[in-house]
This record gives sequence, structure tokens and C-alpha cells, in this order.
Amino acid sequence: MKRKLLTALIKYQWLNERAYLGNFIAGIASTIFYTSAFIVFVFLLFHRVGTIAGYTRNDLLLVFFVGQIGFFTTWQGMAEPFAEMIRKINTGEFDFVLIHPVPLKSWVTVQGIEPLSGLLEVIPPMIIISLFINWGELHITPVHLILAGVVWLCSMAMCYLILLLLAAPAFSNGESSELLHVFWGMGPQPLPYERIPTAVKFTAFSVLPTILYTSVVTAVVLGRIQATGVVIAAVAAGTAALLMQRLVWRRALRVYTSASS
Amino acid sequence: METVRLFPKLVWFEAQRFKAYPLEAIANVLERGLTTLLYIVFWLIVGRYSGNKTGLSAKSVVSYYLIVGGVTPFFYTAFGIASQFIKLIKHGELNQLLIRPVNVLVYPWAIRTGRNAVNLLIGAVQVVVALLISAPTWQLHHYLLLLPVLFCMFSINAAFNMLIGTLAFYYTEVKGFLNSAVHIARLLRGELMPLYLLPLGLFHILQFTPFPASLYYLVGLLQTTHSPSWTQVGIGVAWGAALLWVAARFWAKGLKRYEAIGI
Repeated sequence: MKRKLLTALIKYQWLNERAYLGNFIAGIASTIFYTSAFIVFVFLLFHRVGTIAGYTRNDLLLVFFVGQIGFFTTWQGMAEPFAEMIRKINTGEFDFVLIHPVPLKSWVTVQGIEPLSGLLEVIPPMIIISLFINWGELHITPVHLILAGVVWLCSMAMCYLILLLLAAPAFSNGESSELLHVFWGMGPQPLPYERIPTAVKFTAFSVLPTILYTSVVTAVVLGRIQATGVVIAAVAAGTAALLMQRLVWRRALRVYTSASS
Repeated sequence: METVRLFPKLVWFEAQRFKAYPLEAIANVLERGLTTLLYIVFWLIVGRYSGNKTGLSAKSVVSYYLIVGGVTPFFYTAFGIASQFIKLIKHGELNQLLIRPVNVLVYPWAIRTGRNAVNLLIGAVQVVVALLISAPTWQLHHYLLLLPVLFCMFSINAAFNMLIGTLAFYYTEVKGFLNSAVHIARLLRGELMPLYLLPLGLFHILQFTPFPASLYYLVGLLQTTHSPSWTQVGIGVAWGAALLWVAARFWAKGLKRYEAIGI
């Protein structure tokens, strides 16, 4: 029953996207232009600097590639759904969700996902970046890849918690759209992890998980840092985030007093 | 005259939203702070650990990005006014404006300025901090250049905002085009990287476009280390005047196509 409802919701989103084809094409153009502008920036920068902290142009393009995977996942799978949830709280529509037999967390995730544009806005820019990376030059081992995957998953749990914390005030105030925007201020910036100041490094495992899914993941993939310590720290932070998000959800729903709260 | 009297009232009215949602004001500060911090960290790493010498000092990088972040909200370089125009046209809200004694072109500026109030305040503080850090030594020609450079930046960005906003008369789903334009402009006007780091040939070509005059010249002038020449500013002024004229014509032509809701 629950699965049927969520499938129907995805189908509805799909039809909705197809109805506004202009929006959809414009969205794709925008992500492609962003990617192209950034690649040009990387080429121009490296033409001048040669290397940055031992990172070649190829390495930095990989940082960008990895960062974009995290960005698109958090954007399409978390930030957009939370933005939609805030809008529904603000207009009072959220009340109707609460009285329906739908699992709330799944609903929040599914109702903001745009399956068609979600895929088509993501795939072309990722292909473009990957075409500029010389994969043969990178020495990526399966072990490093698995460890990086673990760190990436933990970073996603942390991003979810941060976004939830930013969206949660909407349950008591009725609005937190600008607060949610704070997440976009966090990057992802292609920083070479080894040279990040120590104070900022610490934030990767706490308030700035965008650094974790961009710089730390790439450094692990490339085998540039001792992965063990980083993986342990990421798993600890990710587990804590998973536990905390349950508490935040519970508390947010407890303070919610329906429309125009 | 009526428009001049109404403008601050509209700005103040919109700025009231921060009274209702004070957390949103804090959010603005946080977002801008984080963006600037990460940019600065990146460029400090570039300056300190790059293979070739870039001549980037910590002071110049920090002040460059503080000024960039500080001045952009004043000139709507992210095309916020265009976004407001698109919204008015797409949702048919323009109808209400056309029957009121309000200047349709000024209204979106007032609304956006009110909503941007916190950003403007932080922006001003950022510029002051940047100037304190870089401690520029201003000479007479810097003072003389300031007004034309400000004119360039205002007119070019105003024209871009109007041109993109007017496109909504022809095609309401223009938001994606707006985003694409922002991405390209950020690279070409020196928001992503200081333009003096570009290959010389490319920079020479760029100075004949409106982009450097829409941000980079003002930052260079305020820092004084890379202040523009009179020729470059002259080209910028010409672009500003020409683009404003084209934008005004385009707007007038677009408005004739407007058929209220359901275009």
C-alpha cells in the first residue's frame, strides 16, 4: 500500500515535469553551462599555476567530478525535497500529508524528487567532466574506491542531518527557506584536502560535510592520505548523524502546530 | 517624483520580512560567510602551494573575495532583478502594477532591495573590512576613475537584468537561461578567479566585452593594485550606455506583446 502510494507520487512528478518541458530543458542547459564554465576555469587556472598543492589539473578535475556527484545527490535527493516540504508547511498543505497514510520521511524525500530532470540534468554534465579527466593517469585501487565509498555514504548522512536541522525551524516558525540556502554556501569547493587549514579540516567531520564528500573522498580515492583514520572518523560522524536525525524529526513533529504555526 | 518617493517605502516594506522571520536574516549572514570563507581558503591554498609563482598574497586574495562578495548584492550581478521581472510576467502579477501609479521598471528594484537588505548591510561591512586589510594607497586618478567605473558596473548589470527579464515576455520559462548566463558571467567578470590570472591574450580580448567592467574593474580599483586604465573604463562606459539603450528598447517592445495572464 505504502509502496503504491509512493510510486504514484513519483509518477505524478514525472507527468508534472513533462508538462513543463521548457523548464526542464532550461535546467539541463544551466547545469551544462555551470560545468563548462568551471572546466574552463580549471584549464585557465592551471595554465597559470601548473600545480596546486601537488594536485595536477587532472586531479583537480577529479575533485570537481566527485564534488558534483555529492552536490547532485544532496540537491536532488535532499535539498529540493526539504525546500518543497518547507513550502507546504508555509502554505498549510503539510497538514494534509500528516492525515494521509503515508510514511512521512519517505514522502518528504519522494515528493521533491524530479525523476526525469533529476537524471537528465545530472548525467550530461557528469559525462562532460569525465571526458576531460584522463582516467588512466589516476592510480585508483579497488580498496581505495571502497573506502572512499564508505566515507561518501557517511558524508551523505551528515548532509541529510544538516539539511534537516536547517529545515526544522519551519515546523515552529512556518518558514526556513533562507536557512536552507545556507547549505549552498557550503560549497562544494574543490579544495586539496592535505593543505586545508586544520581548523577547517575538523569542520569536514562536523558542520561542513561538503568538504567530506568532495575533498576527503577524492584524497582517499587517490590514496593521498592515510585512509584508516579518516574512515573511522567519517563512520563515527555518519553514525552520530543517523542517530541525531531521528531525534530532530521527532522533536520537529512534536512542536508542529499545523498550518500558520 | 512620485517614484522617488515610493521607492524607499517599497524597500522598507519588503525589508520587514526579516522582522517576521529573524532566523532568515541570520541565515543570509551565515550563507555569505561560508561562501566567502571557502573561496578564500581555496585561493590561499592556490597562492601558497601552486607550482608556478602567482604573486597572490594572503592579503590580496582575502580582500579580493571580500570586495567581490561585498559589491555584488548592490549591483544584482546574480540577476535577481531579472528573476523578479520573470516572476511578475510569468505569474501575471505585472497586471496589477500596470494599473497602479508605480514605475514598472523601478518596482522590482525596490522589492529586491528590500529583500536584500541584510545582504547589502553585510556587503558594505565586507568592503570596509577588505579595504582595512588591503590598506590601498589611493591617488588622484583612482578618485577620478571611481564614478565612471561605478557607472559601468551599474549600467551593464542593470541592462543585463532588464534584457534577461524582458525575455520572459517571449518565453516564460527563461529561468534556466538566467542561471546559464550567471555561470558564464561569473567566469568572465572575475568572480570565479581574478582576471589578472588569465592568459594575457584572453584578458586583452575580454576587455573589449562588457564583462570586466561589470565587476572586475571596480574590485581592481578599490584594491588599487589592478586598477583599470582610462581606455578600459571608456570601453566599459560605452558598453553600459549602449546596453542600457538596447535594454530599454527591448523592454518597450516586449511590453507591447504582454497580454496579461495566460500569455
